[in-house]
Amino acid sequence: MISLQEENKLIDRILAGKQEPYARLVENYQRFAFTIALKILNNRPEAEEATQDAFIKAFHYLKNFNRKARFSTWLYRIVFNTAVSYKRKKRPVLSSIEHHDRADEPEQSLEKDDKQAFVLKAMDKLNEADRLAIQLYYIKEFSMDEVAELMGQNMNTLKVRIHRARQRLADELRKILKEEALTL
Amino acid sequence: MEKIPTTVDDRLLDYLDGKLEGATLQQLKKELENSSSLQARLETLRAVHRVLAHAKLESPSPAFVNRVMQNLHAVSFPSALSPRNGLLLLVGVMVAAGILVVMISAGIFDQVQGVVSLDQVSPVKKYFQQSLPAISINGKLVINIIVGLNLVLAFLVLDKTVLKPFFQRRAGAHV
Repeated sequence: MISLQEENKLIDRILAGKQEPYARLVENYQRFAFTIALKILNNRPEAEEATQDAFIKAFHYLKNFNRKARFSTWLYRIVFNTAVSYKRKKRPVLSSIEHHDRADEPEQSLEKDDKQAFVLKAMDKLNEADRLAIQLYYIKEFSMDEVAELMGQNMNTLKVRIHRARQRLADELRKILKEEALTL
Repeated sequence: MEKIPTTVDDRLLDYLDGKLEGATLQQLKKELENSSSLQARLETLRAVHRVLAHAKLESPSPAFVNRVMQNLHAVSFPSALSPRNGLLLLVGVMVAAGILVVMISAGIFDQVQGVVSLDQVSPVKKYFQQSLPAISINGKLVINIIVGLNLVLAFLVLDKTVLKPFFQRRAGAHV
């Protein structure tokens, strides 16, 4: 990770016309940005493309970045908006294929742990905003502030959303387990 | 199985997040010992919590940084106005300016003249005791200024949506 001071120096150099320091910023934030895009798009190649677009956009609009917020917060918002617009553009056929092609979920562990598979199944019942909020909340590298900021919500709304989403997941899980028990 | 109230659910989630302590924690533990439905609910919430807690950062492909750096200038970023919308706006501005010029040449605004007496404007009257001068307004002059502003706007739109992207593309093609 790079420090805030180093980050500011890199931004100054980029704004002065140098391109190479941007590689350092991309390197530093690529995993965070890619994770956000992946959670929204559920498709690795598409998430990678959206993340790349977001980084390119951020580079071109860097002069508009006011340093009141952190660069990461500003970048994550761009990634979020880019991924959401990718999702909107996505054709329905592609979307239904991707629904079953969840590349980010290791198949082996799904087989190993039925409960995990059932929780993931229950996740599908949540609306998109709840699902994204809960997924990012559990990634310890993202702070609650960052998740709220990138989703354009205030902290209290986000907390309630996450709380209710977990309750809904538990309800769905119980329902699924009950159904499974009946089919045995 | 009895229905768990939302407030109890909230406490169970706080418990899983490690936010409960002291008397509240002891109280919940006691309740858990005495209620099988509460235990079952905690187990379901715990299962959800455990699965989600495995979430981690994902990595893009190894060549990602290089690809971003190579493509930094490959994509041209449209301005807020797309070329199509820019051209439409440009045509609209030019048509409006053209109509005004035709009307001016026809002499429609030649007779539009008037005097606005500031003494008649009530808020001004309230704050100024002495009498204020009257302002004469020439309709033709006002319309000429509007036409001028329209032409400036037309030039800005033309520059932003047509000229700049065109020259940027040309410069890119020569690199």
